[in-house]
Amino acid sequence: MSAETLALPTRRRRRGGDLANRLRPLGVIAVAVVMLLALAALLAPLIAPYDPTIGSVVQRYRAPGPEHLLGTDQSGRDLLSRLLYGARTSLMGAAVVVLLAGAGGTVLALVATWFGGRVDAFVGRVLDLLFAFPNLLLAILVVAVFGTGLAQATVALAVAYVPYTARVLRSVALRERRLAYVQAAELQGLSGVVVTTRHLLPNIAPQILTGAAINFGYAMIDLAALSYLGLGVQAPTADWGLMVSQGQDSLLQGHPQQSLLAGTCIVVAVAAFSVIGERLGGRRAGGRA
Amino acid sequence: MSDTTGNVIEISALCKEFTTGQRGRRRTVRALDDVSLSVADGSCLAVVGESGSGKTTLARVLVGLERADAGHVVLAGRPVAQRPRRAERRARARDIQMVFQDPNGSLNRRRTAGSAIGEVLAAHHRLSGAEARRRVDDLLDQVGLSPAHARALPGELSGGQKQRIAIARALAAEPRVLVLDEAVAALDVSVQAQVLNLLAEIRQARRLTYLFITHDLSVVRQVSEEVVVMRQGRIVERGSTAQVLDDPGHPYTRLLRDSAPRPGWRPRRATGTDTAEAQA
Amino acid sequence: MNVLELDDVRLGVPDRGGDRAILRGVSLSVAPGEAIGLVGESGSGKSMTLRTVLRTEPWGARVTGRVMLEGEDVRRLGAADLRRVRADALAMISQDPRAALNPLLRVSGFLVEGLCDARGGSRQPAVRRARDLLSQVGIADVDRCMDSYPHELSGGMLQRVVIAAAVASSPRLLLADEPTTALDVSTQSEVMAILDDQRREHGMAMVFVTHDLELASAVCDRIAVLYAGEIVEIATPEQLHSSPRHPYTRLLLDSRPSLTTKAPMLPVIPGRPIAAYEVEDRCAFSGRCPWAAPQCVDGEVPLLHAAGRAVRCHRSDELAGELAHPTATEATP
Repeated sequence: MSAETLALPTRRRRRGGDLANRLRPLGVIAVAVVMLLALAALLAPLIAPYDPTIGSVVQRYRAPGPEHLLGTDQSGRDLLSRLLYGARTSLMGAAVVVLLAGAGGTVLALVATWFGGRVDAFVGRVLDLLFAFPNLLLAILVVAVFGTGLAQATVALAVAYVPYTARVLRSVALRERRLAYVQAAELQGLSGVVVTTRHLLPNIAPQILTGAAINFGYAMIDLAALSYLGLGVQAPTADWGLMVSQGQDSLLQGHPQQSLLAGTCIVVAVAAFSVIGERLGGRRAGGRA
Repeated sequence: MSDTTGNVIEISALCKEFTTGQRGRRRTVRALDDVSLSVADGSCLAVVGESGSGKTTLARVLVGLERADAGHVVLAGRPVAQRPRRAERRARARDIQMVFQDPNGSLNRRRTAGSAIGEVLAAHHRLSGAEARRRVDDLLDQVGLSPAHARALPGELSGGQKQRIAIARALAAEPRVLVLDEAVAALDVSVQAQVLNLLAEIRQARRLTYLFITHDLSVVRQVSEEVVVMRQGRIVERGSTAQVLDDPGHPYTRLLRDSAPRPGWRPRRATGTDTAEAQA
Repeated sequence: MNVLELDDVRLGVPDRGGDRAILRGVSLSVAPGEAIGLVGESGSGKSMTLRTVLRTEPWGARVTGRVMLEGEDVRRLGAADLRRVRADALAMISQDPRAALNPLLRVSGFLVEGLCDARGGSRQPAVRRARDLLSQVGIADVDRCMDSYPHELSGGMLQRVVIAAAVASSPRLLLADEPTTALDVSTQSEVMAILDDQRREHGMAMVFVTHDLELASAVCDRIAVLYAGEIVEIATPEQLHSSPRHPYTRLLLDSRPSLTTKAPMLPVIPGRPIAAYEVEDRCAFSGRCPWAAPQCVDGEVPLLHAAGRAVRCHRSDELAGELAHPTATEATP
């Protein structure tokens, strides 16, 4: 058998799905939007023209103009500055939720698939229990016990999100666990931790990322809802959800900017993350051989 | 249990049941029903059977991926614990390794062929980085691949090449026994011939013992000296390959032989065994 | 008129920087009542050839050439005509019978629904006909089978139900894509026999796709051997076995281990089967062929028809003697 005839086949270029190719601009726009929002959140102290929490009653309900680019709210605070600072709490909160829920869900999924049997059944029961509570209800419960605030709301939501992440990842990991390479590694007497982190985890990473991106959007909405209900971020801190809620009265008085602007920010951010999540999932499906 | 018989595998009275279905409709399937067999050092035993015969369960119990309900396994003179700890597992892996059926699932698609082999080397031998790399190249050479293949990801390899890597990975532990679970079934005819030849060469060069699990009687003829025929968890016939294939004693073995397409063969409507079984 | 005629069918799927070829010009004709085997290794294009007939090729694929089904070009049919052709003239049996049956329908529902749809008739005669069909495909307990859901039946039983459904509308052409690959050997024999019986009884032509040359030989009148997206040889099973004219056919026959004799070493074809898109402007098999000569790497080789068979090899005439009468034990050069 000559080495020549067994030569490596030429490295095949990865084929993107045709649909994905055609929708490419949307994905790029989504990434750009997210980067812009992240930049705004990071640089808020530098680029915001005013302090987001201080205003004067004299300045209330200013129309957009050279002095206040987007106008002011009922307390005379600069709306642009509030939006920029609001990006920090809104994005940060959602990021923490996604990170905690992703980590928790991944660990639960891996533990359940690796040990199987009774462990798997037990994890399944716990997840079912959590599933039984609507997200927001669970979060409200936690806040009721531990008090209001961004930290409490974030942790509460993260717990509420764990079952969703864990359920999806468990099924993916289970499929992977049955493949021969995992069993070959198991045969060598390698420890469960080594096999899961070295083999299972990298192969379910695309699903972890996809789930995280999609959850990010939901987390933003839910956090905004909590803040709107007065259970999350507390005034006078700038937050998009809080801004929507505080803008309500002004809305009735004929000054819709605050609610409208904050709401738009939420919608745009959620849409961008959804597109990215969907794109990550699509790439995975259409990509690798 | 004796270790002087020259048998590297001794299995006695192995039983294993699976329960399937949900509550209310539970069904118990006997995957292994009092299976006993022994394999002489350096020989090749073929285990033949169709789906549901228990042949794969036998392999999985033997390598330790599945636990038997009853019975004993003696491997290279050492009784095998049914609930092995990690150190025992590792010791067993140095005696017995397995090659799986599906070439696509056999390798982690995110790691290179070289790292798949390297992982097994690292698990069983203390080697420096340079030594390990040299051993990987050696093993690749033994399965007819070049050192360049060590850098390839599974997606860049053909089915035959992936199966060669899986064989090299099994050999990396330097086992005495190789369990081949339908290891050539998923390969194209021309590639299957290459891999069968390769397996024969390796067995001779390394004095390995094979447990070759297959449904294909032509492959049995080509690779094995002894054969056992399994059906519904039981061994229905055993003997030398030539004897069992030329003059089958059990009607089921005859059915299997008569069902295999070959020159001049015509498909036949059987005597209703399948119909009866399917409707039972 | 031939039931099916493929004329230089080429298929490519779009890839960055042009099309990736899968079929490189398949020409084939199937006479009424004739069974043709398409035999090849994975990636040879045998299943894809069937899919061009059904018009179920992958999304975005570009197909050229003509696919004439009873004188109509399938490739040019509108949606309504395509439905009519699929319902009347064609029936398909695929590898996985479970995928062909709705898991929520009983067998009776599946068969009767199909019969009513195809004929627009009422229920009673359809039920009678369904029971008839089932007993024809060797199902003893028809009542029980009619009342079963797919998951309650074995793969062999399901494939029989699929065969019964396929012959129900008396199509002129049966397309079978590895119909027994997923089945056990003993079941395969049975199902193949039933398929063969039914095909002859209803006078249907068949295109039978398989990787198993012996299986195709047993039920086909002619066999087309495919390699890298083109046909390299067409002949009767007897001709293929006693005197193959293409080196690939001969080597393929040789490399399959024999049921009756053990070879010291199996004769092998070096290298791996190449994909259609990897073929350069030369004989596709030249890279692995022990008889390759300079003329083999100089341009594509045409498929030449002579005396009822066809072969795609420059040297087939001079090698005829050398390629003849292969047995598994005989050593190849």
